[in-house]
Amino acid sequence: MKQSDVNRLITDEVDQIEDSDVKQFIRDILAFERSKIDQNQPHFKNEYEDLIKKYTAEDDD
Amino acid sequence: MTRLEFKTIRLKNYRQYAGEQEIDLTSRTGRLNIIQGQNGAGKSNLLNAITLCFYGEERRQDDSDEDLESLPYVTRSVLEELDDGDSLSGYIEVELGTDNPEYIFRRTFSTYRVDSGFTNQIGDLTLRRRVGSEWKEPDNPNTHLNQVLPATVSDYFLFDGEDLDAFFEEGYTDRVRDAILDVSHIELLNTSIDHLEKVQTDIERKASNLEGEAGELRDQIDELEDELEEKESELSTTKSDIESTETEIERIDRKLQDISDEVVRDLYTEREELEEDIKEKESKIEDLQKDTVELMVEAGPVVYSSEALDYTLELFNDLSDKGQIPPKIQEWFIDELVERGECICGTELSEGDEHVKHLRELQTDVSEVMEENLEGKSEIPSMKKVASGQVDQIQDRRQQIASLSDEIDSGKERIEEIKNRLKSYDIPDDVDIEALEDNREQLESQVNTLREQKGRIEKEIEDIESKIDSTRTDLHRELEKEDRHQQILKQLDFISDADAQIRDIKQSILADIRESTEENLEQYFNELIWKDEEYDITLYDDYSIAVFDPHGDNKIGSLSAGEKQVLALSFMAALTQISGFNAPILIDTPLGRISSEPKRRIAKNLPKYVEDTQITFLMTDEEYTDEVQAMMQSSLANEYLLEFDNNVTRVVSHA
Amino acid sequence: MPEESSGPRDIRIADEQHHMYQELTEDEASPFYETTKTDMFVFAMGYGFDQGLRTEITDSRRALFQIRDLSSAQDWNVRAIAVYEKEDHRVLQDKSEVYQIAVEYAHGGMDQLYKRYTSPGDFFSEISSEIIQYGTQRLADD
Repeated sequence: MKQSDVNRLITDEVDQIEDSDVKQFIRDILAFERSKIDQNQPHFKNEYEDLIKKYTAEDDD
Repeated sequence: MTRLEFKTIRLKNYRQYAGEQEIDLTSRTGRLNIIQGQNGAGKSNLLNAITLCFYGEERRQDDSDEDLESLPYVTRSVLEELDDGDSLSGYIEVELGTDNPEYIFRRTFSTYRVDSGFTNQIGDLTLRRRVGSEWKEPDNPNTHLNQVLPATVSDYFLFDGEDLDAFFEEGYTDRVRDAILDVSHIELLNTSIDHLEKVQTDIERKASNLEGEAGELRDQIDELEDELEEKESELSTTKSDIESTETEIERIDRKLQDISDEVVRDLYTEREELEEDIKEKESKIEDLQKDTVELMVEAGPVVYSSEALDYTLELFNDLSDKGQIPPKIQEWFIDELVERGECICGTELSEGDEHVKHLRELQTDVSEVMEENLEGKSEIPSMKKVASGQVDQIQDRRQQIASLSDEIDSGKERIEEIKNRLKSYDIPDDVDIEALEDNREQLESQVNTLREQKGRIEKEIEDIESKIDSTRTDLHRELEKEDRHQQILKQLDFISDADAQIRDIKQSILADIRESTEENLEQYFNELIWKDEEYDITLYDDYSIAVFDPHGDNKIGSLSAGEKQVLALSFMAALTQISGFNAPILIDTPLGRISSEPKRRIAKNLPKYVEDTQITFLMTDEEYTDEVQAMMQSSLANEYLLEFDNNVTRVVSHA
Repeated sequence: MPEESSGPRDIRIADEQHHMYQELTEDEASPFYETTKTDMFVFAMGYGFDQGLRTEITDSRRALFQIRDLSSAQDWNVRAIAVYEKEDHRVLQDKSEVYQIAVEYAHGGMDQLYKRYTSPGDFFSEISSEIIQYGTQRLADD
């Protein structure tokens, strides 16, 4: 997922997020949403749940 | 952001564009392309060509009277040669890239001649994409297109200027909002928030399903572990009992081993044998004594009363000698007398009478006494003889007993000697090998019982441990549930965080974007509008726009068509400043509604406001006046003219 | 005139002596352990005769055994003593008297035997020695 697919205005803000897990998670879901722009009702739950599991599985923070 | 540009557009047999035609829009110097053509010359169809290629649809209605849809894609003049059922195909190819071409999107189409009409068919979008120095054909052209310019926002990049005035018609706030949110990608944030909330609900539902019984199971395990401890203590005790008993056995063994010295062993053996022997002899003595007693009891009376016996025998012998013990023969004498019927004294005798009775009595008495006495005569001597023999036997047995006793005594003496000898060997003289061995046997049996016990306890321990294991597995499952619960709570927290962050970002960006849009809109509008007035434009939170004239009146409701078009153009230009998409812009008839005077101004200024972006204008002759051309000159990249002749358009470079 | 020749059925001894018979024949320690009451009586009678211990029984009496349990030798032992006592063979016709004499000698004999048994000393060895001694002396005539 290319970062440049999402508006720089947004990605700059996302970069400011302190929590690295939250930051990367948001990057991932935005990239996901960007890729699904033309789809009417894309399936998102699995992707989201996988990402959430991924970023909450680690023991840090 | 390096914006993509149209590099080349190639058409083959697309509507007016017969044959293969190429429109090269590359340039090193300018960003502005002008394609000039009359209405009906196929100007709008260029826009259609691009959307047909990208999205499989034509969006603009041509100026001609006929309904575009009923017209064939393929150039009509070319179609004329077609027979019924035959088809011809053409294609549209759009090349995009930054400095160099990177994407070549292509779509073919066909037209079939059917009966009196035509049917159109379009193929799938194909893509050649440059990867390094190679061109590859990815499997998913639409995904790539989506990354460049999704259909939903394509209207902000490829549009008809004459439609723009409708943008700010009634209900424009929604359009403004959608445009801003979509183009800026803020809509992505909205979607993310929405999706996060849906996922959150799902996960919350999962959380409520996880009620655990961990506490109970923990208690069970505690109980079992207590039991286990008890059993293990039992086992330990049993083990140490076994150990100490075995030690005891070893001690005995050692003792017995000590008795391995040959001499000592011999002494022990001798002692054992002596003890055996003594036992035997004592038992024999007992038997002999028993015998003796029996003999004594029989012989004793005879011996004791021998005087009486002798006297009686003598007496009987005397009587016998004197004839007072008639022989047995005399008994029948009386019988004869009775038979004869006459006694020797002459008395008459007959059965039944007194005399015979008397005689019979006499006979009985006499015979009895006689018999008895006769018996005595033989019995008494016989008794004496027997007794005598018995006395001899008694004597004999007494002697045997005496010698056995002697032997026993000397045996015991010897044993005593042995004891003393053994003392010198430092072995306790009370060591009884037999007893030791008995003891040892006992201990062995004890050990066996203990071992059985140990086995039993070990099995019990196994059982408890296995129960603990399975309960633990259950506990872990419950804990996992708890864990998952924890995990889920963690996830929910995470979602909250992310949600909050996204909302924050949206909040701050939106404000910026609205601000930026407002600023740009105001600036562009003021520069583009031909009026010599300064307008204040406000973009409100609800996306409504106010255009305040110097008097402070909001003119938004009373703008002319031209003014609306300018506002819209300004807005589109403002959008590019906040755009998350790096696509080029193509506008058909940008100045369509605008009267000649303002045209000049717009023409002059418009290019300025879409910096970094390639713009292609499809203009009519009326729009692209010499004056306009002159004003755009410095920004011009390419100029083309659409020559329309005989229903066929040719793209001609107009350098 | 001969008297009833059937005679008594039982040998009846003094009540007080029953326990002596019991002990002498039932105690394991007794040399006469497992001897029958009958044999014990005859032995006591012989012993009592030898020691001249004929004793009248004044107390109540109880049957010890039946006279028919006596062996014929034992019976002759009894008769011989009676004949000797009366110095007349005709006493044999009075069976009551015959057994009376036997019982009285046995009474005196058992008293003595029991005394000896309960006194210290090797009863068995003493008795058996006696028997041997008398036996060899008195029976050697044959």
